[in-house]
Amino acid sequence: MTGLRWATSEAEPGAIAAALRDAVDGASLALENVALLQAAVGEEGIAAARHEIAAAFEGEPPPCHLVRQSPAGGRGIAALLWLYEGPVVRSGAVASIGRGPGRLHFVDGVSAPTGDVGAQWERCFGSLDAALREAGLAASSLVKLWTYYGSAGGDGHFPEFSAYRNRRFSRARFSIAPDSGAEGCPPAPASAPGGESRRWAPWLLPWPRRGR
Amino acid sequence: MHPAWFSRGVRVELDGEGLLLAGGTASVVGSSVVHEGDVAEQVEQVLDLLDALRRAAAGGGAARCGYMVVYVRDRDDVGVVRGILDAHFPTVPTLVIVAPLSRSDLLVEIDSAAIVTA
Repeated sequence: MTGLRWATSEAEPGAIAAALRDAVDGASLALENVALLQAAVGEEGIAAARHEIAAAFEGEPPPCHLVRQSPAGGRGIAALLWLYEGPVVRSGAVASIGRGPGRLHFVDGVSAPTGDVGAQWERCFGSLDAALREAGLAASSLVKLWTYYGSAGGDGHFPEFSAYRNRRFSRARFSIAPDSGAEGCPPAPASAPGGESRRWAPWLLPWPRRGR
Repeated sequence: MHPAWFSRGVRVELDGEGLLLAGGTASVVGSSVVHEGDVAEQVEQVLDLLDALRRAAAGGGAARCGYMVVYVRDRDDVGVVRGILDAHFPTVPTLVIVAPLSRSDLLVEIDSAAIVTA
């Protein structure tokens, strides 16, 4: 068995930490078993949610993937937890699960808060490249990438995205999901490096093998 | 310039089992949106696509949906979407989020992963 499981949690502001603990308890696991936290955060703001998440994990949260979108209930956060029954090895913004060539690595979301569209993609992919290099892994081992577009979004982003993607990750077998572009897409989270952003790209990076 | 080409899903081997990572899936067949304006039909279409993906990844084995993150364009559609998902996947962890989507005629998009065994 892989031991990989998932749990969800929805919480009002101020109750996020408790809700996350409840979700983990409900899976009969511990906070140390959380490999990745993905969450949609409503109007209360991502900075406050991050604070609560950090408190829940006693200052050592897993890689987080937070987007400013509306939980269906309209308030608080809706979170998805990636849980692993085996040991989760955390190092900085990376968490790893599994053994041998089947290890998966999850990387904290990154963003490109300023500059024109091309510059922002350049920065996002540059951060991704750096994370891969630091782990001694090749771009071709990237298998999953979540990309969120900001207020300038929509189909118009694809040509620029394609240019950077093709140049940097032409051999990657990744999938992209979802494209929350088009008009009305909210700004990037306050927690994004450098503050507010019009578009940003957090990712999950599982990569199954080294050095190719 | 090449267009962005995306795989619909990737199977990753993890400690003896397969982890299927599906791409964000919407009511698109080929390159065309189907069931315009009908959120229920779009959800069913997406579920069919994801089911086909899981069956292909399992190669005749079993596939167990692990989670779904469901992006719904219109908050008024949330109840309909939840009802369909609860009917098909009552025990799968599911998040429903109100969010814009990449095409104006898409009403729902689902991201998911599954454990598959040969």
